[in-house]
Amino acid sequence: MLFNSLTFIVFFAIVLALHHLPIGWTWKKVNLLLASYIFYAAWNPPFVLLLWLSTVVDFLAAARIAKSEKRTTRRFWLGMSMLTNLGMLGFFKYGGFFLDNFVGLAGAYGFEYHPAMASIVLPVGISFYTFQTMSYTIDVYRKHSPPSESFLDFALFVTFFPQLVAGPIVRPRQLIPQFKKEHQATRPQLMWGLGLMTWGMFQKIVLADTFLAPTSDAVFGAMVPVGTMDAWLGALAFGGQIFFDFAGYSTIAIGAALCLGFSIPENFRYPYAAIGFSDFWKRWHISLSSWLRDYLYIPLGGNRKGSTRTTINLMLTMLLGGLWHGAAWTFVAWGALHGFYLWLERLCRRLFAEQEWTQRTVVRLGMGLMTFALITLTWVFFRATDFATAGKLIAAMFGFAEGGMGVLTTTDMVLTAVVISLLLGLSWSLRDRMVEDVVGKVPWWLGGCAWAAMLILIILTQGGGGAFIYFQF
Amino acid sequence: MVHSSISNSEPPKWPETYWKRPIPEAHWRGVGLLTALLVLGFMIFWETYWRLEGYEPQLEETAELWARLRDHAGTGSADEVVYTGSSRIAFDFDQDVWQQYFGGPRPIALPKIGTNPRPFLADMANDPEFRGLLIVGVTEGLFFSPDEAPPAGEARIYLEHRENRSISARTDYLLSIPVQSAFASINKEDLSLAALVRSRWLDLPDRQGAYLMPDYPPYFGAIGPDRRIRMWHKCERDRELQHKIQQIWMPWFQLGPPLEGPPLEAIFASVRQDVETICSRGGQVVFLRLPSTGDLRKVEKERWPREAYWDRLLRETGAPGIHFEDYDGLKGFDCPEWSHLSRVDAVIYTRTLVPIMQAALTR
Repeated sequence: MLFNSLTFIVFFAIVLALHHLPIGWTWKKVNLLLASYIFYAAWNPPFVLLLWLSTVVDFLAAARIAKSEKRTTRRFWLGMSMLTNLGMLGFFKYGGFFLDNFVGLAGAYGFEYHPAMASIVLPVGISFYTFQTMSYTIDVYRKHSPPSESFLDFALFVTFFPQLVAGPIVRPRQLIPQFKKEHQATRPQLMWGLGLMTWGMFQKIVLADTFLAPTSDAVFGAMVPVGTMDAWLGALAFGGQIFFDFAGYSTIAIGAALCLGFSIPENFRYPYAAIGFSDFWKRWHISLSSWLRDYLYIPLGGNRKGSTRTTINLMLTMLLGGLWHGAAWTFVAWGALHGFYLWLERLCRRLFAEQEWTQRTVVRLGMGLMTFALITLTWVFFRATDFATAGKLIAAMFGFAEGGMGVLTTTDMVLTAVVISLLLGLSWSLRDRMVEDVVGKVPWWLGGCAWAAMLILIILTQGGGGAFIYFQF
Repeated sequence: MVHSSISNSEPPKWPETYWKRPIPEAHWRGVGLLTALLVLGFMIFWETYWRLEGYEPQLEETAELWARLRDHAGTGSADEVVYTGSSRIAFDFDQDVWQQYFGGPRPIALPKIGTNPRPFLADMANDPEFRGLLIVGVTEGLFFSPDEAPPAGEARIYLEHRENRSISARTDYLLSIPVQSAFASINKEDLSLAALVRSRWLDLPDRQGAYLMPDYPPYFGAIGPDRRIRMWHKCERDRELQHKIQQIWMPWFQLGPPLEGPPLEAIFASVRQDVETICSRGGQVVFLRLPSTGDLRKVEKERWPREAYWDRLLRETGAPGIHFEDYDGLKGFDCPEWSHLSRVDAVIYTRTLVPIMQAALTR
């Protein structure tokens, strides 16, 4: 079920009420686990079987790994876990993509091949929970974490509904220990959790869906060549939309967990105030970027094997990171661009790191804006359905589109400009602070007014907006 | 894995302490109380204001509402009556009057505003259990639009929703009914944040030469749980609102050239096929051309001449058709905004239609 739905409001109220009943901790965990399965089954009940498969295989694999000191046994069970999770991911998410490319490649060499194309439905959130369970088995294999003694705790770790379908991708050490002891929110935790949920909904429903989505939809779906200003506004709007959509989801997830007494780590830290691309990836989808760093980039050798290998490792990590987002070459191009930016940044750092002028405020601000502009360019590949659309839009952004026309209403142009300016301004003013620090310093009545204003605007949308963008990944 | 350290015999442990989210210092009781009071106060003011402006509670037209009624169609009974089309049949066809004069079960309403109903016709043709009467409202600009154009896409969205609807889509609908039935201020067309910002609060003039779709009409009809749409009383009287909607229809009905040549032939072929499929099971299909008036009717006549579209449709499919201009009792209506009938006229229209329909079915 969607967070932004009436069903979720009723569901969450019931879960919260049951969680506060005077019953034992084990029963409370059973309540949370069943609720998580109901939450997931509300989309498509049969896909709960995949969750169970992933849960059972990883629980057993990790237990066998922990029991054995034999390298071959440990590797076998690690391989089983990888095969199950990556196999599921590969079949459901990349099956059609691989088949399409194989057919295309065969055709290029003159072999006509027409396989039966099965229509495969992507189970929602599969990229998130498979990565989460794999991190558990790998951590046990590396002896960074012990295996969970309780199947209930582990099943809840895999399935915990606030972050099940779109993250944050939580590490075992961050969540499993929290299930060992009773957790129930204190009143301030409950209030702050509800406040975070409201802030997340506001980002998703009001800022992303109501204010920015129409602009990006109009530009990326335009039937005519788009003018330069409209192309930039469309790309900027999508950059804002995807941030508010995804950061909104993460904020709701964090808030929902907090209402139940659990702490989930931050997933976004004002990414559009990043100075440079490595800084961006420390601020954007932190749980995925740190997962890729720990389980892909570092095992590949990271930056410890010379500059050429570092570049290759970076590119590989970013290409796979791109592919993680979607089974299309446009996502690979998006990852490749980020890999290229990171390589360029390393080069620049080597040349200019010691220069004092790079630390001047105006230079840092300029670098921040350049980072933002270059990241905006990458969103074109992320949002466009094909390279032809992306190419046309990039050409339009640099004034190379012939006969470019205005496709945006003046109202949407103003809305996009205002929302993106506010996003940048707020990101810069808060870039080194947590939202909790800011809220703690605001007079209580102002906090109440801001909360009420957000709720009123959410109500006024009248349930507008659809699924979160990251559900499709 | 590079970092595996299986030689280390020390077993790992779960951390005793883990990161705990900080909670801001605040007077939470005061914050909560103030928030609740402000939201409640605003909602009372907002609801009262829009009720005074003439708005009434109504349902939202959604794919789920359509799908629920579609579930009731295709019973295998020869008595069942289903009607589909675009907005005109949804406004002009009165189910109660039909049932009273025609008899039989209550007709099932499956039209959708702004859609090409051909995908709905195909859907009924593909339902082996449908053996009843299907009335198809024809608005030429929509019915004869290409498959890949948005009007057919709108219909396909509803069909896909019915095919793949989740449990939560059903529960959302059920939970939303009491809310929608209680609040007049829940009105997506006019009073949602998106509509308020773009049509009332920040409605700025657009650039010269910009390639923009025409505006959508404001709210002018309320849909009920039976999907019958009744014209809003304000639209029946308010000349300014009527004029505004009339001016919105004009560009919509002049978008792109009317379909001709092979694509039009393909449409006739596919409709013929669907009609034949339904008739082969013992069902019947009747096409209905509902009233339109004013400059809009002039544009329609010019762009979709009757002989090339309507007459041809009946000839190609062999199905009976009722065109409002062919019957004295059906042609005198005045559509307040040129395209749909008022509530009273819809009753009169349907009452007049019944004997004509009965005659057409027995012909």
